[in-house]
Amino acid sequence: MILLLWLTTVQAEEPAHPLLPVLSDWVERSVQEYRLEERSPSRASAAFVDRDAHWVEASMGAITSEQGWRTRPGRVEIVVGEDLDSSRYRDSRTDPVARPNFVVENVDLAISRDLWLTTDYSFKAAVEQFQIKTAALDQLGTPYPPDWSASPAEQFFDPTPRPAIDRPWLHDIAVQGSEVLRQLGGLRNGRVYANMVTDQYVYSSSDGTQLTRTDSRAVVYAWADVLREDGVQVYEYVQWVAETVEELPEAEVILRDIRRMGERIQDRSTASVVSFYEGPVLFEGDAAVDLFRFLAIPELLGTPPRPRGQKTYDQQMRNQPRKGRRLLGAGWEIVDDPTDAPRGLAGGFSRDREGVQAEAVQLVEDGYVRDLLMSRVPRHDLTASNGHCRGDIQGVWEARESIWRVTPERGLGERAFARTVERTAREAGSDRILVIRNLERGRKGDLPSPTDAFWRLTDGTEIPVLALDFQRVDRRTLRDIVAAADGEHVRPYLAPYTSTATAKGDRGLPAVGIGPERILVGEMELVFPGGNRQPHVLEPPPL
Amino acid sequence: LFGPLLSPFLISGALASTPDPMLEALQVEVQRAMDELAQTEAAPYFIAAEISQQNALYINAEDGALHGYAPTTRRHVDVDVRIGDRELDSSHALRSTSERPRNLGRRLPLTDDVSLLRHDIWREIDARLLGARKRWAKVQSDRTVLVAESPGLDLAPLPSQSIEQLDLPELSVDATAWEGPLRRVSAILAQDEIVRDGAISLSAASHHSWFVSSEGTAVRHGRIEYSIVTNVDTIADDGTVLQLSRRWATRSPDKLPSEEELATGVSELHALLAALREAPEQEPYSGPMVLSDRAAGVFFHEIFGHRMEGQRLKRVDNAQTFTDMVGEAILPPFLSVVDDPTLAQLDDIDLRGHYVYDNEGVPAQPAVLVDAGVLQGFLQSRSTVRPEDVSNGHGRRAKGMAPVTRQGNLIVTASSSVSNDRLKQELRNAARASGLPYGLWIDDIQGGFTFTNRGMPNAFNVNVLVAHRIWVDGRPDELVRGIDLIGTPLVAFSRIQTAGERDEVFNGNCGAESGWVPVSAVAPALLVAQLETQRKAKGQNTPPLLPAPDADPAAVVP
Repeated sequence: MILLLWLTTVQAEEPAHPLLPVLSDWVERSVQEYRLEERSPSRASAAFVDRDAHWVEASMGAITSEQGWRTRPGRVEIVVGEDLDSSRYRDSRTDPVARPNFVVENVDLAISRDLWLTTDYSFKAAVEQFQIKTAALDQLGTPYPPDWSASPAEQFFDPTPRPAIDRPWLHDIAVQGSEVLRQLGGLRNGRVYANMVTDQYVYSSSDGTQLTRTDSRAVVYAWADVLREDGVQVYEYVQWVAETVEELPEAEVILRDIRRMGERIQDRSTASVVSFYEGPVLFEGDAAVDLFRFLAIPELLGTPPRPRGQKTYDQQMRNQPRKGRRLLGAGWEIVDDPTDAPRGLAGGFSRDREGVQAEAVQLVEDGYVRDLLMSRVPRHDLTASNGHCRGDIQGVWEARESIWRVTPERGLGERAFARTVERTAREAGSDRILVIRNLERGRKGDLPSPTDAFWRLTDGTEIPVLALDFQRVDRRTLRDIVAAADGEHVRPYLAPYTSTATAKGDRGLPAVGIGPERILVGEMELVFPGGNRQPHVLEPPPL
Repeated sequence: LFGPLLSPFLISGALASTPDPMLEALQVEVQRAMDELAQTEAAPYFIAAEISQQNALYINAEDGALHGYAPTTRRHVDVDVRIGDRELDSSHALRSTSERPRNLGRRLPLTDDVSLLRHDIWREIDARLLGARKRWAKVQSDRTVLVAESPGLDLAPLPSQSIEQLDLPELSVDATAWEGPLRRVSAILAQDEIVRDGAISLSAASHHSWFVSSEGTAVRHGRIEYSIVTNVDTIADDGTVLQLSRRWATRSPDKLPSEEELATGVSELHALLAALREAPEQEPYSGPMVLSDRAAGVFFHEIFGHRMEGQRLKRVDNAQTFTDMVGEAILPPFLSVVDDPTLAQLDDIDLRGHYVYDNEGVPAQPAVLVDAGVLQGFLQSRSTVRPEDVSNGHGRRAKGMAPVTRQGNLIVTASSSVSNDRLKQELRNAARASGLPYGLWIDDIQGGFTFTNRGMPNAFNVNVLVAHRIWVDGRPDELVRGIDLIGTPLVAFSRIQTAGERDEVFNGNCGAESGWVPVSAVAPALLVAQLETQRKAKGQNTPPLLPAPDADPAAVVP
């Protein structure tokens, strides 16, 4: 396959980073000069991130760890082969992607020497992997799609300077937030993590793309727990994500919400056990958006799995997201647009990791999956990137969500929605509704357990509910949505670095989900999982 | 026994009048746990807890530029809860199942707030108590079902409890002032194509420790270290990766080498690397050999020292090479061996294996292992080889691990020795007598490993970095590469013939069951009548396909 090169130039007056010419030079040299027998690179790319970061962890009012410095993690990939190439092969001990950690000073020689060694490693590994991969896949009956898709070469230099990191603020919010949890009393853990990371991403590829991009994110993450005598751990977390410290909520708001979280944990720790529930569930606020985040978004990520020697493409794709699938009821829509980040929130971009211009993608239309988010790794049915390649600089790069919006066919007004909730509960034979406001972090395709759940009685009284787990919930649950309330809820969050991983509390890919403020699901099943921890033998000391 | 003396407010004597918050928190929680658990089933008879804090700075330079850096501080608590009694307790090595050392402990907040510290110490004591109860059931099951073991205590009594609050050393290093020298010296390594990868780093770290036990021990102590390490490697045309390193270690920043000394050291290392790259690969060899410089110290550390670690000698799966040989000659009569962690310096060189208290709160003591060739005893932690043994302060660990007997400063001395020139002549004579054209002179050893367990050969394999052929016919000495020293310990020790001069101190790190601990090893050059070498494992990668980037000294950031 011959890659077609388009050149859409947004020409900057000078390289946005002094080391970009060094990167580009080594990418060019790699393609032109590396050769082993008859093999030479078909493409090459090199990237790094100039990163400043400050990380603070505090427990019960005291710092447990605080550190921050500049790093320059990088990634170098030399590829051998054409339609079928050396990249992304799963059954190999050798990974042709090199992951250097460059020196942080702008010394051409130092960077060049690292590139000299890493391109050498990557090329040799690519030759080895290409031969192994070709031998394995050639034996399979049906061909895999090409490993790489053409895309216009871009030169895009983001002039945005990296914002400064407000280290004292991060320190103070971690200490004060965890002190709030300490003051509540009775909690076993009360931790607050605060950090800010600013990146200047620098990328160069042999197809002519050169990119610099500025990203930043500030995070506050708090969690606390109580261990009951029956071994049940009662816990919850709250998280704030924005582009900078200044864009996070005021400290008073964060401290107030941390206190409320602690109070909810205290309340729930004494709640009585509900062993089984089957009936309507009302998702509110973050949980309403998270319902789509965990059940719908994984069905919209189009990057195919890495080829394996023992499986055909069709076998690999059997359980993968696909176009044409009915995901939601009639009239529902989902759009992901990385260029449309709400002001101050992190997760948006105009060029993705591979330098491709980000596009708004209509993913779900009238309830059906119409399109998928794509990187430059194609499928048989989707052959081009739509600019959604994301991932940690040294991790897995794949199509991921960024700024997405879920829209129902019709959102009900407050009174109409309340009437629907009441009627649904009554039809289920109940005088109460199970309300969920917060979910645990979870894996792809799995709806994690509620961490903030309560009964809401018809008179408005709220009764905390102890730990419950969903039973047999998957994407089809979304078709059981009975009603959505009017009004939007904006949910910034940190997605895990890879689509198959579990999200961490204070690190990951920033993203924003926007959806209805409240969602009513007609019927769900939840059970009490029981305590799985050993209760403490010793009484805790006074704190 | 645990008594009122443990109240932090009643401690007197060597402890300062102002209670140390770390000691106070440890004492209160250890006391509370003992009191609350006294009447429970499977109550512990002993609890110890240690807080360790590391303040560190690490600056790394490569090819004339720096990596990012910042000082770090970490604080950690380790807890030891024992159920049973001194003869047999929950820490006893299990015989029915194999165990891997586990990294335990808990990070502590960086505060002097006693109640906060107590909260996390409580969590760790509670967790270790649950673990001890489970383990105690398995230990009892082993005792019931399996054959009797040889005696030895799991927790030997101490003659007295240490109560001491030593001053804690604080880091003192001007990081900014070191940036320039590190950049410039690292740039030396980027000047030609020989070096594939090279780096130089400064690390400065203080290690503070607070230890409390339910028996009454309460000590605070610390150590500090500054070191500069340079690593350099190249790849030969046959795929052999050659790596050399040099460490300058000291307890005072004033004793760190100057930029000029560093540059000289790095240049010497670079020259040696270039020579090694061109040196012939040594074929397998059996014959006389001299271990000199650091090689003799490392050889003794690996082959001899690890077989002197008492806790290892009581394990039923251990070959127990020397367990029953106390009072017998195991080395030539001109050799004596002592492990003395109380020794801070030797010939004005700071020893890394120096410490004041071990990780069981026992004062460090010199342990005479061999006197005039005769085995005198072993390195002992509180888990002793024989019932009558006591700890000699060698229970050591890295944070998170359980302490076991480890070496500190292993010092081999010779009552009679010859000059190294004379030793070289004796090597030639021995080679000639064996009908060999040359003998081998081992200058430097990287490290190695030795098996001490039953069920596998009790052999050693030591990685040689630098060795020379010493030709019988008087040809110039010839540098060789690509060998490992192999053999079995008893045979190797029985063939030691002559001692030479003592040149260098080995200051390094030793990794074993209880993690990495700093150690030193010192020995005179030794002529061994017969040792064997084998070819070293060799890489299969080719050297880089493209030439190295052109060096431009002017590109170095000033």
